[in-house]
Amino acid sequence: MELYTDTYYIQRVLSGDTSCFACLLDKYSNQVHALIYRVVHNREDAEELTQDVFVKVFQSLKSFKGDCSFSTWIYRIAYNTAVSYTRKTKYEYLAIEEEQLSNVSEDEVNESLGLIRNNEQIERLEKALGKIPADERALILLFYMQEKSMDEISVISGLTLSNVKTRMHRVRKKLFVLLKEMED
Amino acid sequence: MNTTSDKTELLNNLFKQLDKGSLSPSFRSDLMGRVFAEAAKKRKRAERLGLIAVCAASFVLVVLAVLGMLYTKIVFPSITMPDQPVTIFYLFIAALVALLLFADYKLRVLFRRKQQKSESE
Repeated sequence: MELYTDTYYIQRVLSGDTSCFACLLDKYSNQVHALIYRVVHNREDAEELTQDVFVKVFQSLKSFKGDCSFSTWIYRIAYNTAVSYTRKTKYEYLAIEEEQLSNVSEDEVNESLGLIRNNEQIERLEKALGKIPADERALILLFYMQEKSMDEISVISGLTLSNVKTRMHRVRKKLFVLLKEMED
Repeated sequence: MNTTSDKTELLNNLFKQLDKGSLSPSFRSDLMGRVFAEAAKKRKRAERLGLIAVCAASFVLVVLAVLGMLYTKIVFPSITMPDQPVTIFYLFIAALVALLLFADYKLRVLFRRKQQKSESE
């Protein structure tokens, strides 16, 4: 059970007790770092960006109105920071045609993945994730790795719920195409 | 999308096993250092704004007082300089006050720095 809520710590920080920010940091830093690290795929940059995220959180703590959970609010800042960073660095992503997306079957991919060792499965997934655009990668990571609901992802990414669902479906299909290609 | 279905179970497990990276041991202290610096900057900005507000209010009050005096045609009080030895004494007192105020300012800055250091530790 939590001793104090996020709101309690936020109030303390806003009233001038800056050291209370460390409690929020301890609670969320690892999760935020994990997301950013998987999106930017570079240890040093991920740590730097995680620092930037928490400095932004501290600077704009006053503007947190509580219309979503504090965790969702932090993730929104982290998502925007990581995605805009990757836009600046101009990564090149693989273009996948519509036809390929509709031809791939999830069962097939699951079956072929099931035949290989766990380490190799993770390796393939990492490679496939590296080939999709950062914003799409962030969406799927929020869903699977951070276990966020579609509604929460919608708030975090600023997309509509239906848009999130459609994009998630396409990203999963893209992943399946890439995993299938690796098998071939 | 059904997360509990067998189809997505494999993908779910794989995502959970992805390397999440780890933060360096100095991450927390480095970040809190940045946060304390940011808090100090915020405090200074607020102080500066307060000082500007006080100066502006004082200026407005002086202008209003002068305008009021001109409007009501009150005669300005004439200023007569006191004798030379008394003036020197007044100047000595003024210099002493200025010196004490400067010392007070310096000691406050030193105290704040020490406080920030102990907070960040």
